[in-house]
Amino acid sequence: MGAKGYDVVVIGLGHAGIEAASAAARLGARVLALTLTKANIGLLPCNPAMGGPAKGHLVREVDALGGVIGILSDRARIQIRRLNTGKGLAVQALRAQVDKEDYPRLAASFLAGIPGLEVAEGEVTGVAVRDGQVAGVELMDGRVIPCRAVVATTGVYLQGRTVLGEEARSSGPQGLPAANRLTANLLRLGLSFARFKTGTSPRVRLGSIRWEAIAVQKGDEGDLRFSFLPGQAVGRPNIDSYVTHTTEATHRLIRENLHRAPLFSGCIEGVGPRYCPSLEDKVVRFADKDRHPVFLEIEQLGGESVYLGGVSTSLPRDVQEALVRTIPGLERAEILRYGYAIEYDCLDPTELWPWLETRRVPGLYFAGSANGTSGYEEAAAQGILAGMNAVRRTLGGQDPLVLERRQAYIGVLIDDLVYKGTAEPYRMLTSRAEYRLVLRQGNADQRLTPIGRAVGLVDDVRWTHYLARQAEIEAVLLWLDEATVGVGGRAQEKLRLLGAAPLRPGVRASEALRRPELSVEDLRDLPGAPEWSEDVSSEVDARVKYEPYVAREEMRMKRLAHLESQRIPSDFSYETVRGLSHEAREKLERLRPGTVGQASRISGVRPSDVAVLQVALSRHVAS
Amino acid sequence: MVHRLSGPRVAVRTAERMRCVGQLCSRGDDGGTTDGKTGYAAELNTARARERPDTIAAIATPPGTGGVGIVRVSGPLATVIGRRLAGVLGPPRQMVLRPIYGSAGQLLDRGLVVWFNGPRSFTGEDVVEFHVHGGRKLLEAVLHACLVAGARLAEPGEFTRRAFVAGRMTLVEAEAVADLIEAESEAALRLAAQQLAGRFVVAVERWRTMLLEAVAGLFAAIDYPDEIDALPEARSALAVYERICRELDEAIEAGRAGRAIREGIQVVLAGPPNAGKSSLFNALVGYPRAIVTEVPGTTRDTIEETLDVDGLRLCLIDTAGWRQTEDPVEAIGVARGEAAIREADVVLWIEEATGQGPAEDASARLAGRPVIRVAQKGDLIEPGNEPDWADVVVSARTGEGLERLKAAIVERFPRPDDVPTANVRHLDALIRAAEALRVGGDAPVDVLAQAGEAALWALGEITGESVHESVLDQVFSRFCLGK
Repeated sequence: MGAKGYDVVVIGLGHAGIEAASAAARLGARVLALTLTKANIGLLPCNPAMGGPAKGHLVREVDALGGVIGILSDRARIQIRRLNTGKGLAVQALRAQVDKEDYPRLAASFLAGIPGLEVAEGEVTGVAVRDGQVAGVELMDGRVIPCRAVVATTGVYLQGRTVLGEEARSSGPQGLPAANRLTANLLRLGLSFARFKTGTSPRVRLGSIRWEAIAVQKGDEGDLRFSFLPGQAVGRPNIDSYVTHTTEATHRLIRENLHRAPLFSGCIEGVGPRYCPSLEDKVVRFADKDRHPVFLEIEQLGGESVYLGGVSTSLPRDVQEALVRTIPGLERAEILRYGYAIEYDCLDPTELWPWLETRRVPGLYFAGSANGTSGYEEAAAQGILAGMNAVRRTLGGQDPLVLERRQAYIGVLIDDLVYKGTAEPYRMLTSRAEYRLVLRQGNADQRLTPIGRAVGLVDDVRWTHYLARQAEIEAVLLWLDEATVGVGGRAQEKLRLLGAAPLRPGVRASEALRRPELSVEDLRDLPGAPEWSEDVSSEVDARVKYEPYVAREEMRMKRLAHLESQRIPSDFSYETVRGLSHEAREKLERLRPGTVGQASRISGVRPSDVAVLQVALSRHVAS
Repeated sequence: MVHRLSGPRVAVRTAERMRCVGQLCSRGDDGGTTDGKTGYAAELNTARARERPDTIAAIATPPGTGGVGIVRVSGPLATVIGRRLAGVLGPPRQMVLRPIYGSAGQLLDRGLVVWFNGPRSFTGEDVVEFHVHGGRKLLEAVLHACLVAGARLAEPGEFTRRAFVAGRMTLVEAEAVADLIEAESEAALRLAAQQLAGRFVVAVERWRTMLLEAVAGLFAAIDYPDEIDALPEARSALAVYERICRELDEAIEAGRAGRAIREGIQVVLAGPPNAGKSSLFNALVGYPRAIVTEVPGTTRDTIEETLDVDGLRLCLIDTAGWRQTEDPVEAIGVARGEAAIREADVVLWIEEATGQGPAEDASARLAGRPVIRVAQKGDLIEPGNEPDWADVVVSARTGEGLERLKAAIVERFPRPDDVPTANVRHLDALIRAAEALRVGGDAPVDVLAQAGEAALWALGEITGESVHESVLDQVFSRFCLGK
């Protein structure tokens, strides 16, 4: 570690830490990123997959802001699929399998190439605070490293404890060391923590699988990539994955061994996620289902390890071995790594401002699973914001960047965390985003790249691509409003083949595009058509086809947006507001929302409290 | 409720004190007198484009009182809506008598219309008031026309809130308002508690449950594409939406009827002059309220009185006899009578039992109205000679048949216990829920989910529950998901 000192220390180099460290460094800060071991940089301890609905949206958004996760995923990907193609353009999403070895390697070399960023091994045992501000971090070996801001991205390592059957031990994921000292220090600073639990599935040896019993799931063709920067995934392979299922025998075996399951024997106390239940959970809670799907994902090109999606379990080793062999295709499967559960400390995220700085300790930021989320994508989304704001606010004295719910899934994620809190590991879902019709993965750049540019994370290359893509989209949209459809042509032919009613000749192309059967690709043969890339087509489709749906929602959205636009001054005193319920007053005083909209989402704040607050605010403004 | 405060009790402030706060300030710059109809769409669009707060409207007078009721509109669209309904407006702050048109362009009433240009108004925004003859149905029709023209229903206390924000009230007044809103939210809570036991909330809860299940299925299919098949979920969601839409429409209708019952069933007594309408009116009411003479055309204006029958409140309205007349005063009475018939929940068409029944022109006028044909002066005919045209034969003089008549009126209405309780705010929410659910069958799954969610939000305004967590709870309790 250099002697000249640092501006920002990032604790941990998982997916949140990578984004935080690179964002802070690229904004000009001198950054030290500390990790327990360089072996866990960019680790993918659960299945090596990125994206999916809502999570894929997050990856696109981080990329649009100038982040890392999209590029790394594209460069490490071994399969890519486009999900929800039949379910509407707003929820279409990419999901990639990435190479479990390539990804961390690419991440480490990417970080090594960022000027001003230093990566070192070391365990942080405390955050030094002077005059109520972050002053540095304390290391295990007694050293104190001075800095002005700390971004804690401690993942699932804080007092990590893994459980596998009757065996329980202090550990991070994959047998890596846990960090056992930091929580106590942070508790002394007044922060409060929760204990969450998550888990992963067993891995089996590729050569031991009976493939003929298993259905194939192909990757999708085309120029599919997370990053808006072209050329990222060129030449990457697109391998198959596989699906099989559990059987009655699997379920019987689990029921017979429930007394040995740590989840049910009281050995695990942490709260687990509902959306990522262990197999023993599924068998108990959905006793009427006679099978559950099992997804087989190859973890590494040329490697031996196959991830068994859907079989997350912490049952003892002998039970895992037996149960895997009740699954068609896995009758002779050999387990390479057993499934396990992991418990860890995570911060109560309502301790945070919406720019991810702790309320109690100015200069201390938190991001990632340490805030009670699960998933690489959720972690990255917080990481980029935390790294950015550590520089903007703590170093630069500028306003922090807070994304709104209507701007990004990232905004929804952080808003939910800091105002509602979470009672289980939080996963991003499309159902959480009320503005989902306008938060498409195709317009993430339009929504966020100008913001990334203004902040300073979007370089000239990305900016130039952005401007070109927008110009291309605009040109197509303009042309669609002028061009008209004739009697023949590709679109009419397609409709005829589908047995659908033909278009009235002379109808405007933009109107024709409203037909659900048609894509702008079907209109390429119309006279005067400009050139456009394949990548632009679905975005044009979405803008034209969703316009009426978005318009339908406008009134409702305006009512919501109105609440968001009503600001609450930071010095506002809730003590003197008459008519607030006790619970609302206490929570508002503690969480200090910035807008009435944020206040309205705090649990315990009732509609009548919101009305009282609005009147009190008007009085405050008027006086 | 709080709207009442916005009347003359609040003194007009001097210009120095009229403060414009933030964006709520209206510049009062659209006081022109564009033709009410032609430029409407364009005007609406420009006004909307300004991104100001939305325009609110409400009935500003308490229900069931007074001869004149007020519908108040405030916000950037107020004058646009004013001209939409009344054609042209007079100079600011000056009442003018104008015809007032309904949402379908039909004449509703001639009433007084006044507009106040913001910020020189109670709320600091442009405000338009329609002072119309106070029948509940008429007031609602005017309010409805305002809503159709672009306003939304004001929330409790909203006019006052805007007034305060615009600096139109002193601190003392504002404190009073805060107290009122506080009291009001308590009252609302009490009301909610009462209604929780009611069938209406049971119905809303049932719709919510069905919708939650449908929407949860759609979101499960969206968020877990490899595990949940979208097609069956979309199909069943569409079926559920259709069914709930139908039930919502029924509930909206019933809600209107339910309100009619709680606020009084309008029973209009009509018929040719001297048929004995006023004596029947007095007989039903139980004391001589209307002046009864032998002279045809004695009743020149409508007379109202209420009456309780089996727990239902009847609002009896006696009208002037139906005839051509040269007398201008009587002519106004006749016209009012016609209006009352149009608004009536029940029309009692009264003729002498010895007469031939409704003449052709009368029958034509009554077509489509809920009519009970009453043969009055039944004591003048022999038993067994009851006229065929009559539904009920009565005698106001002997009291014969009065109970039968009352029974004939009330049996047309459900018992109060049988009807869902819905106030105007509830109805507004039901209507928005139904609108949200009317998506086309070819809408993609994400739009379907959004529609269901919008309906849930609207219904959640009635039950006060948040949507997101409930949907998630449903998703994870119904489907077995995750790696």
